[in-house]
Amino acid sequence: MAGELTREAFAAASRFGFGVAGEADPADSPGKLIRVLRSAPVVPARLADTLSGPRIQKRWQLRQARQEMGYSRAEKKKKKPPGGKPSRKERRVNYTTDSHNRLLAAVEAPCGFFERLVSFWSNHFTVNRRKNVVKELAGPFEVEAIRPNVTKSFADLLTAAVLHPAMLVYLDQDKSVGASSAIGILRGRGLNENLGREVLELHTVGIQAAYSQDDVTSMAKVLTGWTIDSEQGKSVFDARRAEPGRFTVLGRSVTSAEDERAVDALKALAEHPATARHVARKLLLHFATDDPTDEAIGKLSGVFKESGGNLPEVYLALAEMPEVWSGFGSKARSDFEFVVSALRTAELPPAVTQKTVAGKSHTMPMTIGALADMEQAMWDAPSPAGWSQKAADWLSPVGLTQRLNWISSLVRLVPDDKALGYLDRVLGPLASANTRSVVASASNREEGLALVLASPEFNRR
Amino acid sequence: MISRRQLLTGGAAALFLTPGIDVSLGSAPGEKRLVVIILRGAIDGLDVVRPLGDPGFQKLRGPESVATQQLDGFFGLRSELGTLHRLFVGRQATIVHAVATPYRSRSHFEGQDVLEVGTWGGNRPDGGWLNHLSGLLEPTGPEFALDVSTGKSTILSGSRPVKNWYPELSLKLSGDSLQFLELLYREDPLLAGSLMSIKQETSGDKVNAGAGDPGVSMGDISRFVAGALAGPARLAAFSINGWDTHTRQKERLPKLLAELDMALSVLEKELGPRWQDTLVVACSEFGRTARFNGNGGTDHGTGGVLFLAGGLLAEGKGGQVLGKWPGLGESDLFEGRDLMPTSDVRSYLGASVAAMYGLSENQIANTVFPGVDLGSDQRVL
Repeated sequence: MAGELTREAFAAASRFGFGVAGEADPADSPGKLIRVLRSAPVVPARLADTLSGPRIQKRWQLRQARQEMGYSRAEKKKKKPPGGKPSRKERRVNYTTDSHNRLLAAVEAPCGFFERLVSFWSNHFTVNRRKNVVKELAGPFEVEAIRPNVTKSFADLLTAAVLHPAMLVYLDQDKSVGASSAIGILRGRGLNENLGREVLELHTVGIQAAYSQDDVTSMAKVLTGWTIDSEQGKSVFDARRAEPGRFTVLGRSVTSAEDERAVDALKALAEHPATARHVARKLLLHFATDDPTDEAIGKLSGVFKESGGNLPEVYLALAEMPEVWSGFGSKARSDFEFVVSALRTAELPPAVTQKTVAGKSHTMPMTIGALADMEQAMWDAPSPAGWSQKAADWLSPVGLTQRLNWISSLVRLVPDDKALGYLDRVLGPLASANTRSVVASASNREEGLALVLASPEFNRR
Repeated sequence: MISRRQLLTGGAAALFLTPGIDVSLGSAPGEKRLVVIILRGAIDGLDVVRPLGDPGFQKLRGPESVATQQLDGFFGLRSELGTLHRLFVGRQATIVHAVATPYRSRSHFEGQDVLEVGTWGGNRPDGGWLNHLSGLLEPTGPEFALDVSTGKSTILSGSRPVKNWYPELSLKLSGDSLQFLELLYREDPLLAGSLMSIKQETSGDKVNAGAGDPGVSMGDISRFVAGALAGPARLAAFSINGWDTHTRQKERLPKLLAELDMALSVLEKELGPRWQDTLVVACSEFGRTARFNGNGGTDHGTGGVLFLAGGLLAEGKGGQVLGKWPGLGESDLFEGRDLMPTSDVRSYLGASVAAMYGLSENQIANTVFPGVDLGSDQRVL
């Protein structure tokens, strides 16, 4: 099958997916790329149990149980409450399981482009797992807020992401209370601007829109009321925490009722021209080039605006840009993309992918071990701005060392039958003459496999 | 010939006040070392270097007291920074308060970029100020400037060669494989460059303990930096993350400060006699709000604090808290919420490197910190 594919199909599979390996129907045109995307499985069976509700509720129930038994906070720290002290460990286990499943979901996916988009949006709406509570909510966030909205509208995606429990915790919205709200007055609590700020700076209009501090504060006030109801295990609007009044965000007065104003404000932000530019720029930066041109941004944001943020139309316009479709090699694969792409070529059986390795402080499956060694643990971006997108950062001396070290352990696991014709299967017409000749002169099978995985063509896209 | 003593004692100020004196360009840095620590997340200067002598402080932050050590009768330093305090008393550390870059929009991402490229408002330069500084100095070789991070940090990015490394890494591939990789990458400059760096750092018989390694600590990083500075390196940069205390600041700051103090302590110890020729600066993208927010934390602010340490300070203004204290009254705050910045942090950094390396005001203001004013109303080291 690989032998029949054009260079164009190979290039597109790398540019937009994880390479041709495992791709059920490799696209050789932008139109086909989007058609295949539309029929991609949204939540594979492997991720069906990655849900936030039951986990939030379980923590709530444990807290209730402890309170009923009359445990004070001091006692809690010393003694083991009923059921032991599971929270921290369970959250970590959930996180490790979620990461492992997410990675394998990408390895097993018939449509790589869908998974790439999930990761792109997950990075755009970064939640970081280091906050204890977020550890077991980051995986569900991706499944519940991101995946179902990848092929919908940006407004749908934005609302789902911003109001998901994981985001509300990560950016301290669950602690934000209107200072003049009922609870604000009663308990002397106040506003936390973190989410309001990041909605403007990172999720929608971006820094270039030159919003003011007042806009940030207003947005934070508009969001007040939104918090997590742990007993129900979901995000809710609680009027007692909502700051009364009318607020203006980026020149637009938010006039709807308190329980609707956050969603309305988010929808308005989704329609703001600066948002179109911000998102267009990020899509180009991720998929096409380290330095998007103003012209390209203008063109893509135009489609964004005209389509009302219809994401598949935006993706089509992106893929149709000649420099995007035919620009293979200008970007570098991130560590996550690299690991997924490599594992797709290796077709390792579950017994192998589930095998545990020693991590920095705990054991973990070899899949996650790879990401941990490369310091791109799942949902662990260094700031709300997400991971770097630049080639030089992924292929730095340190980055390359980590990749090469992992390659040398991976190639020992590749079954013999998968090693046959590896170069042709993995790179096909993408392989340069130089790469072909160097791989051909490898002294043994493992070295040959390693050189394919270390090649510029495999590390770039 | 201007003596080292003259350069460091207010002599740097004299350098800039007296027209016509232009110290020779690119004079050999000789034995001087510069370490830049970037405190990412916006450290709360008010909490760490406490203006105990200002009645507004208790009004804003509440009566809760924290163990501090006296600095100068007005400011107190949190006790977690024991090494810094000891150095301060020994005139080998100095603090500047109420400083900021020219940037005012309180975004970490942008604020750190400004801190690292060294300018704001005009065209963004290609690369960081520390890379531009290295271009003005006589390099000892390709390892003159060291970027200790897992990617390329902005402060050292640019056209001058920089070594990027992280402690405890080594390559598992054999020498033969390395040769193949060289061939494989001969048409890809980025990969070829990274491979060359790797080869210089590793030797075939180095055994990597692999994934069982404990995590890299601040002590490891500081030891690594000191080791490099004993070798060919003269400029180094690394980061300490986590200062963005929007919540539970009281609980979170001690551990963060312990990291910073550990970095200073290890650097001093490992550099040994070279500490006399070293300057360490620790800076942050901006400060935090003067008042606590609703969650026991502070939000992004403006005016903040700059730390300097090293033997080079002893003959200059070591053991002082510099800067112009703006006060904490309602009308003294910036936009009614933040500590007012009264000096440009870059003028202290710029004057320090000018004095260390004998650079002129023009060189600093044109190349290193574009647009900075090292003027006479700023106290310099």
